[in-house]
Amino acid sequence: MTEKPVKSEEMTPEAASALEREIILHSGDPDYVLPGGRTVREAREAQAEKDAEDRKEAAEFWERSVKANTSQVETVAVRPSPAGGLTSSPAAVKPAETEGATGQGESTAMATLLPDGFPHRELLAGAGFNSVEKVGAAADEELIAVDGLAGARVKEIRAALKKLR
Amino acid sequence: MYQLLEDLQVLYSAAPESAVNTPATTTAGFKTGLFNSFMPPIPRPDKLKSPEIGSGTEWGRKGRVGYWPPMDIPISGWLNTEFAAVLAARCWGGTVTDELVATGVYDHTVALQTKAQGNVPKLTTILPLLGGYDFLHASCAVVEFSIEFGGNEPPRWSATLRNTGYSWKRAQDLTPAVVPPSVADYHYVHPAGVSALYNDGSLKDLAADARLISGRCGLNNGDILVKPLPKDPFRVTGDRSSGAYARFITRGKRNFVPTLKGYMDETLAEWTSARDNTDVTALTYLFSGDPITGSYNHEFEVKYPLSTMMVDGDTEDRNAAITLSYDTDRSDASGGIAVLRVRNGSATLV
Repeated sequence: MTEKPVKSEEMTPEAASALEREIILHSGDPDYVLPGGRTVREAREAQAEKDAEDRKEAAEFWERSVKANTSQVETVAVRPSPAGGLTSSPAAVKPAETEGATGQGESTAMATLLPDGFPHRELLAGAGFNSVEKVGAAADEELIAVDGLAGARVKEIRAALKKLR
Repeated sequence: MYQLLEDLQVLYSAAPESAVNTPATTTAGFKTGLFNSFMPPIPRPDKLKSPEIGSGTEWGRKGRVGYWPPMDIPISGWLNTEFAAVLAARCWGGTVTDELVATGVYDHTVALQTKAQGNVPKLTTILPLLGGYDFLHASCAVVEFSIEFGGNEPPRWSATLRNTGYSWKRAQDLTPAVVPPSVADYHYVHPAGVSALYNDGSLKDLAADARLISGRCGLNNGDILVKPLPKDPFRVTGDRSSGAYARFITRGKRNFVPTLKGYMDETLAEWTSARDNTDVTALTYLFSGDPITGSYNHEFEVKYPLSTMMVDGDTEDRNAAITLSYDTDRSDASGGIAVLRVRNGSATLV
C-alpha cells in the first residue's frame, strides 16, 4: 500500500518567507486572516513562541558547553582574617557555620581551599573539587570518576581530609 | 611499517555534538564517510618562547606549550546525498524539515541558523583511522560548503572544517575501541544531471538551451572564530604544561557568490538584467542523482531566493561565453540568503 505523503508540522523556509511577506504587508491589521487560516496576531505569537524555544535550546547548548569545558576552577577567594592573627596554614581558617548548612553543594559560607600538599590537589581542583567542603561532600564514586584517581588515591584523600577536620 | 593512504577510513559523528568539545567517542556515535580528497593534518601545540634577556647567552630558554590551535581540515568528494548532505546541513545549521514525499522518498529542507538559534555552528567529530594517524578532531565547524560542476566529471563538493584545537586525543586511547561502521550505499550525480534556473521576470534555464557550461554554489559561514579565553580547558586536566584548547567557537556573517558560466548568445539578455539591476528570484541549482524508486531520484538542491546579477565576458573553447555572478547579500524575509534541500531514502537528515 502506498503511504500518503505527509507534511511535517515545520514550515519550509520558502513557505515561511511567503508567510512573513504576508504578515509584513498586513502588519497594521492584526485580525487579518492569512492564507492557512491564522490571523496576523496568531502567526506572530506562534513565531515568537518558536523563537523563544530556539533561544532556550541555544542557551542550554551554551550551558552544557560551559559545564563540559570547566576543567578547573581557580577560586580567587578573599580569605577572611583569622581571629588571633596570621596563620601559615589556610586549613586553619574555618568557614562560618550557618544553621542548616550541610556542607553539601554550594554553601553560602566561605569555602576552605585545599591546602598546599593536599594529596592529588591538582587533579581534584581540575574536576571542580577545589575546597575542603566540596571534597568532603563528594561521594567516593564521584572522586573515583575523576581522571587519574583510583580507589587507593581516594583513601589517601579521605585520610588527609580527616586530619584537617 | 608503512601506511597506504588509500586504506584511510574517515568516521564522522552521526549527530551534531551536544556541546562544544564533547566529541563522539563510541562506535554507535559514528558513521563512515566516503570522499575523494582529504588531507589529514597532524595536530601540534603552539610553543611559547621566552623573550626575556639576561641569561648571558644568545639563545632562548625552553619553550612552553601554549594552545593547541584550531585545525583547518579541507575535504572533498563526488556530490552525494549521504556524507556531503550531512556536512551541508551542518553548514547551514538551521531547522531541518523532513517530509515524506512518497513511500521511501524523503525531502529534507534545511534553513539557515536563525538569530534565535544563536551563532555557534553545528559541530562534527571527525575521526580518521590510518594506523598511527588516528587523531580525533572534536567540534569541527563547516567554514564553507561548495559544489562545483562542469565537464564530464560528476559534480564535486568541497568543505573546509575548522575545530577548537581539540585534536590531540587518539582513537587508540578510546575504550572500548571504535569499530568503523560499514559504509552505507552512496548515491551520486551524473554530470548531465545538473540544472540551474533563475527568474529575472521570466524563467531562465541555460541548461535547457544547451548554453550552461559550469557553475558553483554553496554557503560560507564567514570567519569561524576560535578564541582562546581564560579558564579554557587543558589537554590533561589540571596540568598547565600540557597545553590548553579553546571552547569559544562562533560563525560569522553568512555569504556566498554563486556563479554560472554559459555560452553567450546574440541577445545577451543576461546583460540587460544586470544593467537594470533586476531582482533575480529562485536561483536554483538542482543536482539529480541516482534513482530512489519509481520516478523519484536522489536530489541535492541549493536555492537562493533573492539576488541580483553581474555579468562578465569569458571564453569557452572557441566560443564567446559569459560568467554570471549573483549578489546574494539580501535575504528574502526569513528565508535567508540560501535554502538547502536534499532528497534521499532516509527519514531524517541530522
